[in-house]
Amino acid sequence: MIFFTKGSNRDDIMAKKNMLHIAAAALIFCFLCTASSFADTVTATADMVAGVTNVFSIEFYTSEPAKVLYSTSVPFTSMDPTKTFCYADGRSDSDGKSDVGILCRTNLGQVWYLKVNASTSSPDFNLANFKYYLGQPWNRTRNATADGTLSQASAWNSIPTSLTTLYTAGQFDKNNLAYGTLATFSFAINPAGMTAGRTYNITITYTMTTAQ
Amino acid sequence: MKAYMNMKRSAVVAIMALSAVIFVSGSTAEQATQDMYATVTINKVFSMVLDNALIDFGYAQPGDTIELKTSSYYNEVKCQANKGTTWHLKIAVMGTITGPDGNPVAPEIFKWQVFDSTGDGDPVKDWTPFSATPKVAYTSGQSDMAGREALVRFKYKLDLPKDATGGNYRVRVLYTMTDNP
Repeated sequence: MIFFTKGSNRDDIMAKKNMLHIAAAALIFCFLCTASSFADTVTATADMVAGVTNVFSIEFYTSEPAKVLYSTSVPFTSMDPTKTFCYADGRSDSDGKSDVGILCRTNLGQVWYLKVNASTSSPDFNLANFKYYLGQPWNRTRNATADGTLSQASAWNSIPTSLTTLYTAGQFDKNNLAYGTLATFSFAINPAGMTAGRTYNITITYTMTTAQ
Repeated sequence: MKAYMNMKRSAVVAIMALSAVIFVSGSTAEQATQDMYATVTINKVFSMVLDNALIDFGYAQPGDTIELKTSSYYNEVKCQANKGTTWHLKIAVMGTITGPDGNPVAPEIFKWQVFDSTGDGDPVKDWTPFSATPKVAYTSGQSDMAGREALVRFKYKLDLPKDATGGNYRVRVLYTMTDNP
């Protein structure tokens, strides 16, 4: 408490002014003292960058040779000309096997297409007699049926003679690393019109592409 | 009369002696004292400097693990404070990691650790996944609080998942030095 003796009006004013000055000085002092005890924070930033290489590959699946029998060559060495439907060597009805496995791997995050076409160096061979069977592919990373779409229902269809899309990738196929999507093919030949003892060559081209 | 004269002479001598004392005392050196107050203000220091603001892992295959500078550190943060309070150096990512398909990527694929420090504080030397929440990488020691410069050196690692989408990944790293616990 501060007491002022009653004096002249001017003395009162001066006293009040002094009191104000003292209070202001005290406030500034307190502020300065307190300011030095405030928490301090300083920051800096850096950019962190990394590049992941693109993977877009196709290969023959050879990891299960007992189930997927062939890769670059599918032999038909014992065809019975009396039949209209001949499997490749070592194959039979409903044997649970396949002739060729095509493994497609990508991390592009884009829709891709598996396309096939066939050609022959034997002009008298009718490619319409060369049949293929493609079941719904298998996503090996998810260990589940692939979520893409077959262009034709699974059946014995004639091999296309021009580049034709057989399978369109689904959402999970767009990035199917690390193990990829496996498409398994089986083949069969109708030997009608073929000459016994003669060798026929058929070339099948598999293409994985993002171009529709 | 003679006695009176002797008394008068004695009085004069006494007066002269007193006057001499007074005179002598008046001529002694004057001495005055005055207090002087010296104020020394030590400026507060609380600063941090980062020496390399680009953490570049280059290109990697899906499934790869890349450690930048395996036998050394990648960048260092120079911290200095003299407030006498414990401070922390924290590290975090700002926002989400932008992947090539625009989808957010878990920041845990990037990791950090403190390689070493010149201070007397407590560094985190374990590999620690990045997160959006700042994590303490270094806590100051006694010398660090008293104004001595402390260099905190960081290493970084990238653990790419096997199904990493191809393309570029980018994120901003935030370093924070604070005495706010």
